[in-house]
Amino acid sequence: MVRSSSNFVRPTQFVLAAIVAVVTVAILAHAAQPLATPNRLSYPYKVAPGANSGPITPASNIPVMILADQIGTDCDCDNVGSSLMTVVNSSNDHELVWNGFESDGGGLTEGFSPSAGTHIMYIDFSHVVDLEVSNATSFHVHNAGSETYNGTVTLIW
Amino acid sequence: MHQNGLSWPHRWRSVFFWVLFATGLLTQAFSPHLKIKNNGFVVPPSLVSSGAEVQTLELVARERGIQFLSAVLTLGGAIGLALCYREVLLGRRSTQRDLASGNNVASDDPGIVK
Repeated sequence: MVRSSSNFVRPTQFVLAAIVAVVTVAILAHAAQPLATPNRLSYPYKVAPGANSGPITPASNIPVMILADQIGTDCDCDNVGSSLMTVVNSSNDHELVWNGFESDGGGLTEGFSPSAGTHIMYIDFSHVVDLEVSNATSFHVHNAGSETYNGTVTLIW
Repeated sequence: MHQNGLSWPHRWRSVFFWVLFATGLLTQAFSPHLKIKNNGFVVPPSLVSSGAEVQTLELVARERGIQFLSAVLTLGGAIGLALCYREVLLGRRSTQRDLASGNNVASDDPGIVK
């Protein structure tokens, strides 16, 4: 009886040790990913007609590249577009300062404002979805169209 | 002497490393749970749908900090446990080796009560 119990205990110890080892390796592998990933954050939006996404705050006092696109898969519509700009969340000026390109050949966009609702740049084909100033430190996606649109805003810093 | 043949300092040391290991695992729960896709972070749908403000720099820094802390705690706990239980895990083999070489099989580890 004692011998069979001993035979059971020893493999259990090794199984437990193996579980600890495997979990540790998994945690280390999981932790290594964010440490090795560059400073790039994607915000997938889905905005109903007339609504805004949540505010997105870029890192302050460094130029942040914004890549915004509309993929149109939610409405299954031909309103696909993309745009590019840099923005500075300036703690000195207490406002956003930006410079870039409107979508679909809309020309240059540049400006600075802390006022909510100020247009920053269009990100779709029809120029009904744009980035707008939320407050002195953040912006949001605004949908002025009649359908729900989705896409991604990517920030690189 | 303890019933299992382990001294109290040894027992407390092993409890400490188990707690350290478990804390490393639990720390994962406090991360923002950012996904990594196409070599970049992706804000989770739960945060997007909540409409909460996304502070990009703080969010990424928090994810990195918590993952680093979790890795350090888990690795520290695992190494500590390996040292604590080395006699248990390697005992039989070292005992056989000691017998073959004619050495005394009693352990020199102060944690193991002779």
